[in-house]
Amino acid sequence: MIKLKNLSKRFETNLAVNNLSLQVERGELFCFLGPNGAGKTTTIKMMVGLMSPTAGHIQMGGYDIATEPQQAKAIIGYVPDAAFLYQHLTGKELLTMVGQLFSMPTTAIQTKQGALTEQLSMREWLGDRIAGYSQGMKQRLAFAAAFLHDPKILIIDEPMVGLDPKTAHVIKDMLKTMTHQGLTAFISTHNLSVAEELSDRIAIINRGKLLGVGPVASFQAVSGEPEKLEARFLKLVEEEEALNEAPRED
Amino acid sequence: MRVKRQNLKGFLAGVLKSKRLEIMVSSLIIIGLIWGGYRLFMAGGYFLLKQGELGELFLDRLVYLGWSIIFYLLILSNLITGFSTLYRSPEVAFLMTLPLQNLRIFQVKFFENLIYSSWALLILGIPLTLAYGKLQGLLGWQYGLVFFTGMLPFLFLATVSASLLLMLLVMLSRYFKMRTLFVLLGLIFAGLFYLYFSVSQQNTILGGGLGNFRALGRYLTNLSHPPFPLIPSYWFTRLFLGSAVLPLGERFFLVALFISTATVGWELVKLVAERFYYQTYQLMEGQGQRRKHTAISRLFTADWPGIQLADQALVAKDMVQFLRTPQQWVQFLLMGFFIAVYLINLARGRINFEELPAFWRTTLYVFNFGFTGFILAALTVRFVYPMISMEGRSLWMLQMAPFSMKRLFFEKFWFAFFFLFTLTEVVALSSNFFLGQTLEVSIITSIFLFMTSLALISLSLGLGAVYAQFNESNPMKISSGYGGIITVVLSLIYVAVSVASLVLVINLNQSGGSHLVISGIAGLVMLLTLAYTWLPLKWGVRAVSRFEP
Repeated sequence: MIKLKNLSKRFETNLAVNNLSLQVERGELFCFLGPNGAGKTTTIKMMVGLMSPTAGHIQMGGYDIATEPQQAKAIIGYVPDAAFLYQHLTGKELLTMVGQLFSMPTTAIQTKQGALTEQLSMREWLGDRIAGYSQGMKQRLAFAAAFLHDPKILIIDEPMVGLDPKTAHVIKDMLKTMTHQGLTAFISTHNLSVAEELSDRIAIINRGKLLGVGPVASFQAVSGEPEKLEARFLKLVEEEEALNEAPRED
Repeated sequence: MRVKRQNLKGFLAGVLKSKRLEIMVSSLIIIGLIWGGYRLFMAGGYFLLKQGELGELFLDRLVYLGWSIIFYLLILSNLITGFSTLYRSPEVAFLMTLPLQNLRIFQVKFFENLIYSSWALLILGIPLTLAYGKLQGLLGWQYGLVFFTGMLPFLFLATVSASLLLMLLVMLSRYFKMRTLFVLLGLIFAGLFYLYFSVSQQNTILGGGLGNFRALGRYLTNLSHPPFPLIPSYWFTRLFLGSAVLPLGERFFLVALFISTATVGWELVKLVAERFYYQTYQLMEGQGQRRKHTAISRLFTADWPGIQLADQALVAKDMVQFLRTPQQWVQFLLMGFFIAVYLINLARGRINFEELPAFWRTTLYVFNFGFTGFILAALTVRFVYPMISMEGRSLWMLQMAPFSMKRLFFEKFWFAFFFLFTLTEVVALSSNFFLGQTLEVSIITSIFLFMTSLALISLSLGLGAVYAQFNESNPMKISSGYGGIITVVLSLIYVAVSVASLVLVINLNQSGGSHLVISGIAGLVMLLTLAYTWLPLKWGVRAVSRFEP
């Protein structure tokens, strides 16, 4: 469902993503791990078509994001790490706008909007202007906007940022259910407990380079320490940093 | 203040290092504007002075009226920018969390507001006052003295008045909606204008035809006694009078008056801010929390026949955002108000245009065309140029949707074209009607305005995309950036070339000139229009397709 092939992104002298290749299957919940500035957000922005890669190819649901961007975007839902939403609109207006941008019929927008409003507990404030929302409310609205058009691929950058425990729990449940129904989820995070709890497979990236990829269990088995995934993650990152000392930003 | 100074130093050092070419081009443009404006005002002034004493009186009154209007506009402009600088700025929200006195924060933002709202006027004011001072026989040092002791307090007093008014408006927003307050304020300003024109009977020279000597006498009496000697624009224009008219003692009195009023104004605004700034800031913060179920929301859900859903979403979003951004609709209303005043004056001017000689009818027609072109240039730079930047950091939502950025760009183009072309056509056709022009002339005007609208909207939208500022939410600040200055200059050049071509074509036509030359001029204007339309659209589409958040 998702294919990244020899993907690189260079910002002037900084190589943010370095020859990255990955493949994620349909119905898989894939976690993309890495410390701050590892290149996770840059990779995601290239996957959703917000940035062009310096080299390499990306296929989303069989569509090349560079040559068939509209077909690819029609099946992608995206939740950024910091959701900047149109401040002067109300949450309800924003969801209607997103549905219309994805050419959803009005009745379908209303039905889906109603269901998501209940699931994400947004009824109280959905008619207010976004300017008055808290970070968590904005994040919930961004999730609703991403789920609205029933995407086949969901890409989330830091999913639990700003969410209260109850909503975080709801989101996790929704992700599990939807991936069982065939949704492919690609989640970038530096929160290892989220990765351990949710993912079928994980990839670890640092300084733009892929350090390892496989099921969570495979990482835990190698580590053999009480911290499990955390210990393995830290070891891989430290090894890579010892090899490369030049500072780099995301 | 120290942090602001350090920021400014760092910013200037960075700009000097990385944007040398842009600074050179901007400086050349500003010098060109000052020089061109100076020559233009000098030519206009000489023309009036050649008409004898009546022309001299007329020039003085024109300058006085001009600066009076500028003073009111400056207050309104300060009011609009102050709204976002003093209250809606994320920087203020951050500063409020620091161990700083609220008054210090107010002072910093007050000066920021003063600079943002006044710098353009300062540039325009130099050629205007230089020309007027020269015509009045002021010496170089005298000009320098009155410019700095008059112009700076003049700008400062407008910001003081606007800041006081703004705090009052925010206090009143407890009881009334901000929109209602701004409309009320607009009506008060409109009422003041109407009163001023009714009391001073500025249009009596035109009333009853040129042969009405009683009206002329009344007009001359009005000319020699400016009706409001207590406002800063009166002191300001008096300061520029030559030594023969204004004794040295009065000049020093006016300078002292300016400095003392500015000082008292500053102390007053500090006193009010110390008591009310934080209180009003909290009131504004609370307003974001209010529930907003409004009829405007129906723009999204209403049935728009023949329009695709994605296009409806984009247009509805732009309209809703416009109507909920006071900086936008207040200024649009203000411009609408001035256009209405112009049209009402033409309609009620009681001049029998059909009896005027052909030369004056042509002059009035050309002036009217130039005015309409100027209005269009002002509207496009102010409202079309920031359209792409106003998407801000939310642009990712549209970039993620399954349509091209080219479609977004053209949605904005047609949106702007529909409203602005309609508006300018209404202004041009109704003013032509009031000026008694023939149907043929009105059709030619419409065609010219169609081309002008195409060219100016493309220019503003295209350059607005090339010089997009996604981190800036204030449209006035976006328009007054580097790209905005280039757009203003290019727009004015286009309007000037169009008007000059029109004059040439009319003259050639009346003097039986060659049709080949007339066609050649029309062809050149069309070529220019094509370049103004096609190139910015091409650059704009390329820029929006390459935006990376």
